[in-house]
Amino acid sequence: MSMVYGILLVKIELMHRSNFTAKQHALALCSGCHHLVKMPVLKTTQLARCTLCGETVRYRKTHAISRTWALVITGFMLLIPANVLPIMTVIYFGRGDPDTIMSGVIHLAQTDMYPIAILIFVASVFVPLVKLIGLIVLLLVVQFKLSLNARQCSVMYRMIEFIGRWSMLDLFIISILVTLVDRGAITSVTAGPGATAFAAVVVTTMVAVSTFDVRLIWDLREECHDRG
Amino acid sequence: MACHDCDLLLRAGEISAKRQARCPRCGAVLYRHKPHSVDRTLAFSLAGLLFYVPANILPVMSLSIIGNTQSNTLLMGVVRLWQQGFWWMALLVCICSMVIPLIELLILILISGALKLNVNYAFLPKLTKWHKVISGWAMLDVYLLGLVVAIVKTSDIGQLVVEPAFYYFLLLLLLTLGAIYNYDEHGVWHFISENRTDA
Repeated sequence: MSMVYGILLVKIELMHRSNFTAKQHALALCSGCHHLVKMPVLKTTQLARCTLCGETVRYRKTHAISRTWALVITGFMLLIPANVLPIMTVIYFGRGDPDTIMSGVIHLAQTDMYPIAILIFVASVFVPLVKLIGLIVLLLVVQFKLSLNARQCSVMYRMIEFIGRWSMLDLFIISILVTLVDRGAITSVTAGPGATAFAAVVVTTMVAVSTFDVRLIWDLREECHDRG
Repeated sequence: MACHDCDLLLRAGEISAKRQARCPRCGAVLYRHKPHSVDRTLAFSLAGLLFYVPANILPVMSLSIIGNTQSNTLLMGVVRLWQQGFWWMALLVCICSMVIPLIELLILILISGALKLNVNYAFLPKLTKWHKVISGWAMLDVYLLGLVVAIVKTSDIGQLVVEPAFYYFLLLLLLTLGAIYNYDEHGVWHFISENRTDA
């Protein structure tokens, strides 16, 4: 925290002495418009609506855990074809072999293009793995009520959310090279089946991040307080 | 109000921070002060729209190998992938680099236009929600990095020329980022709740 935040935090701390969550006061935040809604007592079949925008209001995202698990497992399975199958074939003066993600990175490193090699490695190998492993950690924390620092978990979630889009980098590069380097038999670039799988990895992990609900981690803390 | 990340109840009236307010428990950014949000969003997004068409259909760069020149446009990249049979990838690239950025600009223009005219149109809540859904999928900034990588990668196999549309694209990206940065979602909801006709 920098100095600027230090000053601001003092001001905001004044209002946080309640130590209650919205849920404990039967209040829920509308997912559509951030309006705080007073939740009526509902039967299981009934749904509450936001008084401002009409959206269905729930305390937490529905089936967050099972949905995120499903998407994370799908992502992991798709990661296999994405890395084993070739993503791109570069033919340069009649020579060239299909490249997988890793062989492409190694190829770049061998031709002394280290910055690009590192960039593509981070975007296509490191980021998807970090995202999936990070989500699994968060899921395990909620499911087995592990006592990890909730604040750090929130920061990790926000980081996972932020880095996700950068995995698209490799796909954009392919779409650029495909038109830029196209001279029939002499030099050409064609996409490979691995690219399709990789595109699916990017989409499933991005959706997986959005189905997870960080508030579940903070709820664990409240449960502990209630018992203790 | 409550924190969207940890559900802590907070009193909104006391947020007097000049720049931004963070949740004291989890550190989530709850509020960011955005002066002249409506005017700036409208200006940035209208200017961005101006560059949208040239950035997408004019050649961004061209590469010549032994006298044979080929250019790249955003649109051609998508078409080529489709022709090679990778329709699913073509669709994803098209959505993230062309469709969503355009929709995002149009939505921002409509929202800030309505706020500027001080009219509470019935479409405002819907548009604001749509913007929230699609905003994560606009990837012009990632595409720019892709362009830079492609420039470096291909510069040694032929003669590479950066065409004007590259700068149009850069302007489009910067203006879009400016519009998003100044867009104040809380302000829009505040406006909607203040001007409700049905209540």
